[in-house]
Amino acid sequence: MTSNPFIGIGLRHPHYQKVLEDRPSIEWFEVHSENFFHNGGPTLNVLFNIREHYPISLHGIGLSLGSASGLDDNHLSRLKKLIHSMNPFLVSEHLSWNSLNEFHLPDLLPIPYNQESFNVFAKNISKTQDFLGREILIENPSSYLEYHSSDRDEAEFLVKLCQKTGAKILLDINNIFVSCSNHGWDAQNYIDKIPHDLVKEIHLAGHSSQEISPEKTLLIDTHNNSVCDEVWELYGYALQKLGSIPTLLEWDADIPSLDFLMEEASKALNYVTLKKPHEKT
Amino acid sequence: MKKLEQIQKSFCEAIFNDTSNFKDLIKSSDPDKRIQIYRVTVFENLLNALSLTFPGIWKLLGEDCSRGVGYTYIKNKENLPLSGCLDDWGSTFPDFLEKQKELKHLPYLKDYASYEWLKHSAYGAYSEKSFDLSDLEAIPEDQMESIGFSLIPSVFIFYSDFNLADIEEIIENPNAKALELNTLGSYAIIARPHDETLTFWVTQDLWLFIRYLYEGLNISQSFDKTCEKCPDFNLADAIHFLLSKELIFKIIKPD
Repeated sequence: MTSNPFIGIGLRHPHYQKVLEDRPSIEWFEVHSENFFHNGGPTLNVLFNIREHYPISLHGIGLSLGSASGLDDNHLSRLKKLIHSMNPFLVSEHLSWNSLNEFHLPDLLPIPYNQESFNVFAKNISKTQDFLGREILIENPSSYLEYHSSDRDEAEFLVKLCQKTGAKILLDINNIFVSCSNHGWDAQNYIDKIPHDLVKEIHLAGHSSQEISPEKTLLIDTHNNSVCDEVWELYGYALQKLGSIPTLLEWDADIPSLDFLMEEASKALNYVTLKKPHEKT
Repeated sequence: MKKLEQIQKSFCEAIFNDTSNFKDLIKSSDPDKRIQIYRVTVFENLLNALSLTFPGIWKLLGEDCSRGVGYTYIKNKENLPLSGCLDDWGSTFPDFLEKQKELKHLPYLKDYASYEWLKHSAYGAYSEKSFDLSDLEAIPEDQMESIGFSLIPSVFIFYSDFNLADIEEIIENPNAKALELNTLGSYAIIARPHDETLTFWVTQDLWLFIRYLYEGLNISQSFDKTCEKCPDFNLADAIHFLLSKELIFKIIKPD
């Protein structure tokens, strides 16, 4: 098992068996935490087996750190139990919300960036880290709308949130590209605002586009195709600023073969810089 | 400025088509089109979850009809997931199917959906190994009738007036014989003793005996109650079934 894993792949159901049988040359895997909230069964057994051979990262999509109504204690307990049994090297969640008291919407929904939402996130992240007894990573989301009530930018919001709570950042380069395109933000400027010591993981993925008016086409974070050239370039820019960070390729729809995913993920090696961000040239 | 909780409530309303309170909160152009992107994602994720939990219902109704029924189910906020884990979601879908006027001509749908829900539940249930046979051999003969059996956690017991085994056969093999709704009901023991979720279509007497054990009665009590309805019940065959299928988790000894 690699002690300093760099290139990883989001592990999804179609590839469980092949990973178990072939033990491909991938340095680590990431799974969606909620897919392993079962009390038992073969899916959980697969992860136990894979965990024997690869570092595992748990990536949550349902905790809803941005919910004004607070966190689901049962969800937290199930996550803690999974962490205890899998000993993941990273645990991450999103800068978004999807639960409101009585029900849950399965998507990563956007929040306004202001003091009230900052306080909600800070409280929920602190509660999560205290309960889990470890730091978590917060991922910047893809978003398709902005609120009037936002009074600060996303990068600033995320950085200050992590500085206040001790959480770290999962920097999704595709999400930066998508949101910056959708809202007219500057992607390099976004990355420039992220201190290198806060970033513990990077995500890469493909996206698609959708015309919403003759003047406006939105990018959608669909995870259903290859990483585009612009996102690779932005990734290279990020590595220059941040140093070499464990990088994961996500692919969640129209999933190709594992070999194809490995080939795609290995492109990240082309952008690795040995230069540390704090070193002067 | 609107409070965050109110914004999130308005967002939920917008996902379910009433965008009036939410649109004004959005700075971006074309708010309806942007909300629609989130709406599509929410509905598609929920429909996908339903199709995975109820694959037989999806095949019986066909993709288009299933999506339409699923959409109607999701549109009622009372049916939405209560947790962030979609595997928890769907227990009320069978009752919902039964209430749909357009599906009255398929009276077995509710039972088949209930059956699929139990298979789904068995799949993710705690994994406990079957007990060691030597534990049984250690029980004194005079105490044998007063012991009970705790079944493995993935065991679920289900009865339907319809012949679900035939329905399942037709789903898996569309060339199978036509469905005869007048045939006798089905007695199912659903379990996942190892990696695979299994369904045992059993006789009424065996089903009754296992149900009584499941409810906590001991062997003697379960036998007596089963014989009240099925006088020809064979206890030895029933015990052999439970042992051979590895459905017993542990022996419950008398106090």
